[in-house]
Amino acid sequence: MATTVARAGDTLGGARRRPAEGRRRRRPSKTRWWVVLLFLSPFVIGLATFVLYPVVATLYYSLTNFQAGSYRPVRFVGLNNYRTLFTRSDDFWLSVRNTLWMVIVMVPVRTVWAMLTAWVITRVKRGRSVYRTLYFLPSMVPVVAGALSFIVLLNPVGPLNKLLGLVGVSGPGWFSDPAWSKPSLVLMALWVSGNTMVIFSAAMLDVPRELYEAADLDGAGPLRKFRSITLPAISPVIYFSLLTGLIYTFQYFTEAFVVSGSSNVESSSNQLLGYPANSLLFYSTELYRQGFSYFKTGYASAMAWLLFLAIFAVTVVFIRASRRFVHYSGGAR
Amino acid sequence: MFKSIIGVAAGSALLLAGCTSAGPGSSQPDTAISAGASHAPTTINVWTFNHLPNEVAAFKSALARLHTTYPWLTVNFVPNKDDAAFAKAVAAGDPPDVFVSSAPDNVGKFCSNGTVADLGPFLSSAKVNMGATFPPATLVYTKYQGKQCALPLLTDAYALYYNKKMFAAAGITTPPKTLSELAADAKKLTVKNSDGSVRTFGFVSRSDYNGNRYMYTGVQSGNKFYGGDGKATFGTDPKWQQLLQWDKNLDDSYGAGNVQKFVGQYQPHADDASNPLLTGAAAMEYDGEWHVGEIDAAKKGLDYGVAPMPVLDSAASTYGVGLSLGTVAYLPAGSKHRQEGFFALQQLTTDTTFLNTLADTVSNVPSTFAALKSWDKASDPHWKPFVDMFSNPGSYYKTLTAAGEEDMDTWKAFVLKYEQGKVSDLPGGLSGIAKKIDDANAQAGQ
Repeated sequence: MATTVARAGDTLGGARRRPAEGRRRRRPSKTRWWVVLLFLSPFVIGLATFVLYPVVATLYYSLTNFQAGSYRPVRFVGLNNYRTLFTRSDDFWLSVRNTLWMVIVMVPVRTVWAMLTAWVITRVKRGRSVYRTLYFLPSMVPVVAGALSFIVLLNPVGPLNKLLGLVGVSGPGWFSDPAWSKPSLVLMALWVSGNTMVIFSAAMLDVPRELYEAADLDGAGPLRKFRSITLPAISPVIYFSLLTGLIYTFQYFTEAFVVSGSSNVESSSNQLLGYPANSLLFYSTELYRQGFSYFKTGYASAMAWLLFLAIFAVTVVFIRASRRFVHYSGGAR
Repeated sequence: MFKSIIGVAAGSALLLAGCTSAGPGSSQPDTAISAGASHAPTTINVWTFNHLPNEVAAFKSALARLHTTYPWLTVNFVPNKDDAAFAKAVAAGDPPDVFVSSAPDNVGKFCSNGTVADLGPFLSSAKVNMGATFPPATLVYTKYQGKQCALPLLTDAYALYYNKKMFAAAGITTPPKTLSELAADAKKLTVKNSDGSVRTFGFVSRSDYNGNRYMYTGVQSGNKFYGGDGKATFGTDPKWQQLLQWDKNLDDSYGAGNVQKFVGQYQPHADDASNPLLTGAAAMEYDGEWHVGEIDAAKKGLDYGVAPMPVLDSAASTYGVGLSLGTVAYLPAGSKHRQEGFFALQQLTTDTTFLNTLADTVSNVPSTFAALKSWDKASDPHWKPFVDMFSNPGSYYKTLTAAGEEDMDTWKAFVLKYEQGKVSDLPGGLSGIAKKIDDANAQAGQ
């Protein structure tokens, strides 16, 4: 078996390696490539059919007036769908505002909530696993079932308002009141933040004890220890939670769809997405409405591409910005 | 390399272009099959939105009878399909041969897009006299720009339900006929608790409660959603302002918080024993005819009356009209068995036994003159107002457009915004919403 030894001065990272002297480069046989392709083919075909083709197709449709189910000739309209979105659609901008509200409020609140619950749980001496399981359980509930449960729980004369009534508080309309509908969804998001809490909990337990002991010797209080030791140590998890939360919330759909749909009246095909008063009209629900209620496939495809570009841009900015606040043990980034 | 890229791009474009429906191609002429003629055995697909077991059973029974009468025709029946599923099937090039939709809102869209066939040639060939077969109110919501693109399959009408006992206690002897009378009666019937909350609402008019949105489509205010020029009339017809102001004044009289609580409590609309009319939480309610069946099932002994919905004072002479819309049945343009599909469609929409059985099953009104005439409930005091309203030539649904349900959604959102005090300039808001709806119609190719 031929071995090569790196010369002095070569680095593993960037330096070019020279082939070992006297060794002839062997061409891989064509037969081997076919075998590799054969084994890869299920993945390649699946990727091409179910990912690449739809991506390219939506880009194409976004430049046309295509409507699903229509026999009208499909016309190339250039950037007209994009222009209409920016200049003539109030609902588009409303959905952008509603989505940004959720991104700005729900993502940090959910992260802080998961972090706090994890912090509390890690400080519990007895029965920690029981509490952790109890907090984690709701995240195993299917999204639709969870949303339906909250519709019952947050009914204006439902259990929560009855409890509030006992202490003399008149509960709000929650999902039926435009002022309360988005905060109610945030409340629901806190209920299902168990998986993030588990990751935070693991990260907190992973912080070296010696650091806290040293801080104790220096006379640091709990808050100082949290700020100077725990927070930097768990910053990669905060970063992960914020980034995944950001991407998820930009595409926020199911909960809003269920809540609006179930809070709505009659006619099965004529659901008023965004109910009440369009306060729950998020970007993805507006996209769905345009594509599957109004059948404007081209227009909805343009919306999908804008969403993709927005998420991509925000993710890149966030990753770059994270270098300032994320601390990795050993200094790696 | 460059050639490869060009090749791949050209191939992709060809592939993508192929994914948009190329247009229906049928070898069959647009003529009806003679019922008595012999025919090669054919199996067709019938899709419907209906999904409840009793509804599905009624359909299956009718289709089995159809097969017994015409053994050459076998129907593959598929329940629980909505408009979106239908559009996807059309886009995939495999539509059903008959599609029954729950609401007529997409008749204009499907008709203008060529998604469904113009039934005119088939109906002429089958010598169906539309005017003598179907009441005029059903033709409003099954036609688009003169083309008969769907047929009615049962219909709905909306009316005022009122609690007779509460009326008597408040000294009200007859149901209100104008919206002013309705508001006055509602205030008389309202009972407040000592803490300011409402125990019994006279009438809640907010548009997102139950089917109230249909009160705001023009038929109760004696005006039309669209003018003769096809443009929305919200900015030009003062009756819209009068109607919305009446609505807001009434709801404000209860206190916005009380109305919010009421609406939130009964969403989704309560159609069982917890319905506010049944529990005494409301003395009057605007609802469709199926509510008669719901009341029968949930509280048979309730002493209630049904009357046409009151109209705006300035349109008092139109009292007796009501909003009328219903289930529609399409013949998809891309059907592979258009003649057989039309045959089944014609049978389903005109078969008196089937219509009356299904009407009884789902508590709807039959949609042909013949079925109405033989329907045993037509003279029932709870059903008669609906039958009368349905037969009233002034009853209608708003004109359907190529934008489908987008116009109603836009309007509903505006009305709710106004009701919640978020529209400070009503005339300006109405003009703005009219423009928005006109733009949507223009964009849809109206």
